[in-house]
Amino acid sequence: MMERATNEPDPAASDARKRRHASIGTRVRIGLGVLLALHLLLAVVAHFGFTGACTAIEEYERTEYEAAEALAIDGLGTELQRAVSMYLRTGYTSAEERTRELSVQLSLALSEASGRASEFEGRETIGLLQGLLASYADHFEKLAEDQKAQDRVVRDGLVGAVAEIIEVYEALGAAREPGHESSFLDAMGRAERAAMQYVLRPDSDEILAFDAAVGDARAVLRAMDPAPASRASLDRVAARLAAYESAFGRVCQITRGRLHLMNVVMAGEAAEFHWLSRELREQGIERSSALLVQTKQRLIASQVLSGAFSGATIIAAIVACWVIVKSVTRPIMRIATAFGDIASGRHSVRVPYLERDDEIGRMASAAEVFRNQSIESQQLVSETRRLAADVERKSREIESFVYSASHDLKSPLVSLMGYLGYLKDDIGNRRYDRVDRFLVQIDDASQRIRRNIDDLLELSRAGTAPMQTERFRFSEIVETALADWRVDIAQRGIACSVLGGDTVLVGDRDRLTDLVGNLIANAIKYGCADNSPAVRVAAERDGSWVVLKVSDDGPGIHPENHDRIFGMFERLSSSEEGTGLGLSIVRKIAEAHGGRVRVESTPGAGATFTVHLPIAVAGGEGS
Amino acid sequence: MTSVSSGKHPYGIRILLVEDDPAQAELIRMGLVNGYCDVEVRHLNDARVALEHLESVAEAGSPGRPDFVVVDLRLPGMSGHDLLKAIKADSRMCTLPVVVLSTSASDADRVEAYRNGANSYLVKSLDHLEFREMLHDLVKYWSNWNQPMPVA
Repeated sequence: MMERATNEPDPAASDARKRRHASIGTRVRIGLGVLLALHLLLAVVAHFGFTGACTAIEEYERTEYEAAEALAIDGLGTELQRAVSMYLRTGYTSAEERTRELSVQLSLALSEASGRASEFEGRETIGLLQGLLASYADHFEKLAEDQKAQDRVVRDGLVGAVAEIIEVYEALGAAREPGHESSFLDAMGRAERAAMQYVLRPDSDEILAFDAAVGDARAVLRAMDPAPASRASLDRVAARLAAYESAFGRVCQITRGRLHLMNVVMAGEAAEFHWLSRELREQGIERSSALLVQTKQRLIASQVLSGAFSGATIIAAIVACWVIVKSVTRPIMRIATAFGDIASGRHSVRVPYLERDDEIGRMASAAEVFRNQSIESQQLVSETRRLAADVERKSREIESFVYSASHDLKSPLVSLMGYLGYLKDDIGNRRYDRVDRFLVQIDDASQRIRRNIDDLLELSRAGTAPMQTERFRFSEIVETALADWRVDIAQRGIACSVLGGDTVLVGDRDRLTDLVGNLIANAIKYGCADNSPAVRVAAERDGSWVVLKVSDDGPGIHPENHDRIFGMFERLSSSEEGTGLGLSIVRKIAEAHGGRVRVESTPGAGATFTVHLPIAVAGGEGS
Repeated sequence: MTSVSSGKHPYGIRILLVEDDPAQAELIRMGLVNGYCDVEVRHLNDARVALEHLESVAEAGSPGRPDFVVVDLRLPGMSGHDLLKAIKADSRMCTLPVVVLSTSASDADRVEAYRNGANSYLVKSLDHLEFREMLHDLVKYWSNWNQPMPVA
């Protein structure tokens, strides 16, 4: 109970301390929740990092593709330009068709690229390129038209015109002067040559040559003085010549326009197209390398982030494990050990964690309850054993008493009844010689019955009646006890000595008087048979005991009977005096005072009965 | 009832009585010596003394040898049980009939007595006529009806 009190501090303090402990369930849930949250966070971070990297790679790939596309567009532009110049150089219809085809291809490629272009800048450039291509195509159509117009003029106005002029000129016949004829033809030949030359390869020299030749031819015509009849023919020649000249002039005009269109406008457009497409490509390359760098950075960042979260998760897991071990596993193990200790009987073991109010605290309280119950049950068991032993001893005592009573109480009755029977018979037969003897026997038997009853009452009182505790000197009770035997002592000359009469006893005066009286009676009855009978009575202090001694010089008691003599109705001699209860009474009184009695004796050399009474009950302070 | 009627014991019968209570011993003696036949009762009040006496007359045919022994159980010092055991343990005396005569009727005493070889177990009766009749018949039985072991 004392231990229990120390283990339970005052409730207020323990309440204050108990509030610090959240329930284990809550703590474990919180720990696992934190772990789960960290884990989810890690998963999210990893997911976004990965997705970002994928997107970046896709973007990078697209940009790369766009750059390649820009390169293709550039190539197509170059090819287109080459086809145009091929057409211009040859005038082949196939080259023209090729040019148109390429133009359509390029236009398609550009609109595709425009649809895919990721950057505004790129789309703008592509828009510019589309504009350029459109105008280039328009200009080409115009060029082609010019070419056709020129071809028509050449075919209609130039080719065959000279032959006609010469034919008309020849028709003049007579009007011609031989010398003039050759110079006209020559001039026309030069003019035709120059014109054809110009058509094939436009050159201002050819124009000058043509003009000079035509001038020459006109001079020849002017120098002619034809007959009036031939005048009309001559005029006709001159008109034809003028038409021829005009046709050439037209060719020259178309050619100049065409050359301007081709060499200035379209070449400029081609150059710009080329430049823009290159720019587009460079933009793509630049962006893709930027994307590459960006992707790498993002990957590194996401790696670092997920690494950090992994680390945090691992640390959190370790912390959670540690917390669980510290707050759950270890306490459970310690309490289990405490339970084991208590179960194996070590009740002094301290139950840990009593101050906690969580599940561990409840477990510890249960262990504490278990311990108290275990202590109680152990006490109960030993108490029960003690009681059982007590009951068994009592029951043996009762059994022994009943047995003894059946013999020893009956014994004098047998005598009484027997002698009464004889007495009755004798009186009936009027025989009186044995009457006195029978009456003495009857009287003796009656006395024995009375003594038995007295002693039994005394014995019963010795064991059951409440004790009156008082202080008195040993001499007081010795005197009372000896008073009953004064006559015997005087008659038989028994030497009586008393030592330590001043020793103070504390106890029940009447019972201790009975105790001493019975010991003295025992000594006088059984220990004073011979010639110089002596009884010595003594009391002394011995440590925490008061020791009372009664000795005689009688025949002594054989060691094998030392235990037996304290039993009820036990007698060692056949003296009629004793009931065999005296020493039982002595033992009962000694035990009732918490003391004990024993006998020391050597057969033939007397006996000493020693009673030890504890000073706490029997002895006062001082002696 | 005054003469010896049986031819078996022309000298009557010799009994050893071991009884510590003198009043009872006298009563028993009066019961045993009842005129049926000559009865010689030797009374000893101490078992040890009785054993010594028996040992001195143990030989079969010895003049002082009793025809049977009557023993009380509750005796000071050596008990009747011990005496009985000692008699039955001695090869010279084991054939000597021993009758237990006790106030005790307890099972424990009877079991112990028979285990130790008692030949009969009698309980002292409080009815004096019955007591006298029992002692009378005891003498009659052992002197008349019972055939003793022949002396070699």
